[in-house]
Amino acid sequence: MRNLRERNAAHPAGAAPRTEKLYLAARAFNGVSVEEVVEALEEARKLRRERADWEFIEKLPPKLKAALKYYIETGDIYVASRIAGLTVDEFNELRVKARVPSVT
Amino acid sequence: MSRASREAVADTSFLVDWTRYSRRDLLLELFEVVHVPESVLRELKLPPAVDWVAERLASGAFALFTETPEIEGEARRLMALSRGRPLKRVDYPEAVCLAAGLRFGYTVLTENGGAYFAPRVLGLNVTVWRAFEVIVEAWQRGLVEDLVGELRRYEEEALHLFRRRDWEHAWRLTRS
Repeated sequence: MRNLRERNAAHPAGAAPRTEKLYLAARAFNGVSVEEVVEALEEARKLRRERADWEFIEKLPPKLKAALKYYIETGDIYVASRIAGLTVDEFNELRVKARVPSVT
Repeated sequence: MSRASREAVADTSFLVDWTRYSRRDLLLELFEVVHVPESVLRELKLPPAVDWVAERLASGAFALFTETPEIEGEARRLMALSRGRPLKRVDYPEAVCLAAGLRFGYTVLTENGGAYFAPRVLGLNVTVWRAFEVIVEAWQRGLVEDLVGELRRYEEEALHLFRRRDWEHAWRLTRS
């Protein structure tokens, strides 16, 4: 990994990608495998993005489309269901129709 | 994999995936009772989830868990704690399950990343399992014959993917 100074030079304040911000925050904690957490979240996000049926998602009404995009980025089904105005199991049906895998 | 209690508490993210799995009743062979919080039950409206949970509540395999002010307070404390950490935020239904796990020693069943990593990142003394750990445990107890085949079945039926690290763990187990 690059050191903190190199990272800051590459990404001026506030411009670092989310994963890098998470990584920098993660380094503040000792004794836990935080790198593993960040890596797992990134792998899950990548799988959701790659497998999603984007053609189906783009045709949805704005609220449902926004909720699915939120889910793809975060994997957080509870908040995604609130954005969609659905219960969690209703949102899960939508997730399956959009071919977005659940990954933890 | 950490040792599980004979009682579990399940959150919505776990139940909505798990109920799509044709061998969902495996859960009943691993735990004497699975507690379902009221906040989780409110999120279930559609079959197969609502039917399966209602049937298992009727049979006594599941039990309704009513949140007390003490559990709600602990859940809100965990939510606040998770916001300052480099992991996905823990939301209320999962936080209730973690609080119940901490208070009563239940194994927490979840597919929420924040809740899954909470024991390590937040330093909580609670066992948290996903479908992956449940299926591995079923295999270790001889309830499932082919671990890899069963994990693949789960992936297909629940449209749920296991991560590379999980697959490597499964392959190591089946080779040893």
